[in-house]
Amino acid sequence: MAIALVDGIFVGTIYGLFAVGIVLVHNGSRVINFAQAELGTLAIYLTWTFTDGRETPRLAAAILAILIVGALGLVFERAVVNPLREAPRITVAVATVGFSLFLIAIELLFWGPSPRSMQSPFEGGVNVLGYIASPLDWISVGALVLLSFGLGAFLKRTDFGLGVLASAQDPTAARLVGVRFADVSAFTWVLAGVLGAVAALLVQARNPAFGVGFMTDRFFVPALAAALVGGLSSLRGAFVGGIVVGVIDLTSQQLFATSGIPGIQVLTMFVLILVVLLIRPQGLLGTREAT
Amino acid sequence: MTGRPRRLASVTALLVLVPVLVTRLDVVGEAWWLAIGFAATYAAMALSLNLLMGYAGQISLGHGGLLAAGAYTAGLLASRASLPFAVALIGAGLCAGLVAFVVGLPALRLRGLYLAITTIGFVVAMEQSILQMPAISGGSAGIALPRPSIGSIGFAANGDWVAVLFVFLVVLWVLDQNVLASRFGRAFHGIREDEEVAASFGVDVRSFKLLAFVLSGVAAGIAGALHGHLVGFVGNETFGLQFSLSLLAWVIIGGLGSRAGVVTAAALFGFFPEILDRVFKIEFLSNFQFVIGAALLVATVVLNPNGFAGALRHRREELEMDKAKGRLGEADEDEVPALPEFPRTAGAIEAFAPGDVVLEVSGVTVQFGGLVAVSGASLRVPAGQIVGLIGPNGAGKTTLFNAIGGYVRPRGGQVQLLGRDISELPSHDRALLGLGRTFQRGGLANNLSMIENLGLAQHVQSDYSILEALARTPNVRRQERLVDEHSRQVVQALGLEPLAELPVKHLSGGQRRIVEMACALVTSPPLLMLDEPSAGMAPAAVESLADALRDLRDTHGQTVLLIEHHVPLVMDVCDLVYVMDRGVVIAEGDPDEIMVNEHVLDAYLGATEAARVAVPT
Repeated sequence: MAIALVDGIFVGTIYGLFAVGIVLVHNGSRVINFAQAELGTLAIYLTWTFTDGRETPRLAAAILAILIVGALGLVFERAVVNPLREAPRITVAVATVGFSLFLIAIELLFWGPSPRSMQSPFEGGVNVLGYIASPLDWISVGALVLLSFGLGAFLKRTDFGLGVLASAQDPTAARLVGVRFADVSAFTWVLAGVLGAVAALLVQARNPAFGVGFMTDRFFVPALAAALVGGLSSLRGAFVGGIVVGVIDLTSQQLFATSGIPGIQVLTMFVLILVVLLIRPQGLLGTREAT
Repeated sequence: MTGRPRRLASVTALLVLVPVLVTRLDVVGEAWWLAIGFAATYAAMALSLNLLMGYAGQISLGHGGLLAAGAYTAGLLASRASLPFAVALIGAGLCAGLVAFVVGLPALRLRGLYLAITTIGFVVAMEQSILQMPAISGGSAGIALPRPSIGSIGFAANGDWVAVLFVFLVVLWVLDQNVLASRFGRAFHGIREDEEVAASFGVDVRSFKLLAFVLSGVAAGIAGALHGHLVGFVGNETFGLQFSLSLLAWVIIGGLGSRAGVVTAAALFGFFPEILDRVFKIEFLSNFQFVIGAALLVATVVLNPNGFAGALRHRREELEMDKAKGRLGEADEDEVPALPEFPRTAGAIEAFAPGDVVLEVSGVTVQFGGLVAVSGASLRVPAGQIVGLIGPNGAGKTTLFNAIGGYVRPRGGQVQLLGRDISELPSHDRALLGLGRTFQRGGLANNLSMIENLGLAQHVQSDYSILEALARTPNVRRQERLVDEHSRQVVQALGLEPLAELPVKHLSGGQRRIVEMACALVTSPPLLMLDEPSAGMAPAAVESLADALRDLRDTHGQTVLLIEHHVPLVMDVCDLVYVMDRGVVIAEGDPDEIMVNEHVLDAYLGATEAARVAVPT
């Protein structure tokens, strides 16, 4: 059980990173980015391509992949999200579904349907209550803490950051006081790409095999659950939500291991999402807004 | 047989004979028929999703879960229970319908993005957990769905099975048509456009939403099972998340809400990859179709969210609009015609005795969080009178209206309509009892035509069941003919015939107000509640509005409760006026009393004392 708990916390940091991306885009564009996880899969494929049979250092390849995926987020924002800023939000959400399908199609086209694998660049790790935490685990903890708190502070302390937060509350008012929606939106989408890439590269090291649509299939629903548990608008909420969901995920697998129900953690996530949306839509940390 | 049935029969015969005969001739390879089979089953799936998303406006990113429910049920019933194909297929439809009912339950509280999230969770749970349970499928191996045989007739040849698929597709198409042309179709459209407006016409939004899920689920279950029999197998990933998203893409590209559009798009996306892959063996190109599909989806959303069919429709509407404008002339827009009287709804009270009270509101309080929007408001609306409700912005007039109509839940107080306590009833039941209303923001389904809006407004007057509607029984036809006749009479009385078939969003603000009032009146409700009817009207039109309201009262004995900002209009037509300020009813009386009431002057002009002091003499 202790192992599951620690493992859950580490997996939770990955969910948290995705959730931060989902929350940022939701703040900036008031939309759920259904391509959030798939941006990560592309980063894995890119890193694999840059390193496979070449001398490129893994870190350089990873950074290059992260930058490319971040740029892709920017391109999507400029080409689709920004032109649709007056459109109903569900329209934009469908566009992100299209983005996700597009990424999957690109993966299929260039790398084919068979799964691939890439070894972790690190070996060994530190024993935490029986769980061997690899350096990547620590990186993901560090990245999540840095991003959710550092970014949170940046958003609260700078004018631009306040603009990002304000546009989530009231886009018209934010525009009236001089915050450029376009800048805010672009910023959040670049970060969404970067976060998706970072999270995916970190998680890929945990399970070497990956395939087309891999991150969406495996990580999108828990990431959504994490964002929802966190209240969908706060970065710190996403951090806590990620950890909570990670722990629920791993402990439910442990608890129901003997039940013989396959994919029990997916069922748990589905139920968790329903419970949060129907009973506590403001999330664990949020306060109910007056309507 | 004449007309439509005859055409239908010949099309069906052709769709059956061609594949069966061509297969006998053996000129087209089996792979071709398989690809055509894909086109047919994908088209059926698109019809199912279109009913839910295109008609009822409920987004589903997890429709594959319903397809899978149907396919697995059909397979299990056939293999384990050894049931005949037809029974297993019915089982597939029922099971998927039941699952859809459960999936639809969150939609009663969630909309849009949140509904999208729950449906995506549903399909992932199906794909990665439920469908892999040993009790269902023996692990992740999936289920075999051999082609059925009826007596000595087998369907092993793909062409023969395609003939069966075509028959099902025609049946689904006709059923879809029948539902759309019934009160159910109009109610679905109403829910898609605006749930409150639909409720104001008496549509039970919650039940109809669930009904849309169930109908869509049954169709999905059958389509999924038919597809399973086509390829002979269904696995947990066959109708997983990626398939669900692709299906969504096809119906959006084809044009949500357009039967022909979604069927064409889905059929093309079913046919071409198969042909490229199996006949021409060009794997690269068949993979490329995903890129094309995804890019087309994004392009559709950015350039024309209504899809290909929507773009065509829009072009046609613009042309018709120009023509209609030409026929109407310019002057008509500024005039409110006398609103005609319509036959009273069965059960509604025919005539009132003098002194009867139609609406009695006592001590209604509405609170939003910490804000008290309406505080202990009481008013009574006597029969055959026009009662005005005025007050500054934010006084709580519309909130009080919403409390009377059942759109917000008051913390306290009572609302009585015709002596009956309706405080606990949902808004659609209040509409049923005879509470007609218009909305300040506009209470029409904007993408529907005037005829369709008037049909929706007569929702409570038809009473046939969904099964009757699917079969389009003579009873349905008769009732529909009545609804249509009424609608056309109204349009004629309003003098707006040239615009009858165009979406009302193309109408001028004033015209929309008139149509909205006509919709609220079409069932002759004992009480008509108008929320700022003069908003958006030209000044000249406001005068004729006053005439129309007076005519309604004097000629037809219509009782009206009226919120207006245009104070001269209120003073002109009202028999009794209530004034609200900051959530409280501060005055009541006839217009002359109200004009000189000190509290009212206070509310409108600020503190009178302060005003006197501030004005230098």
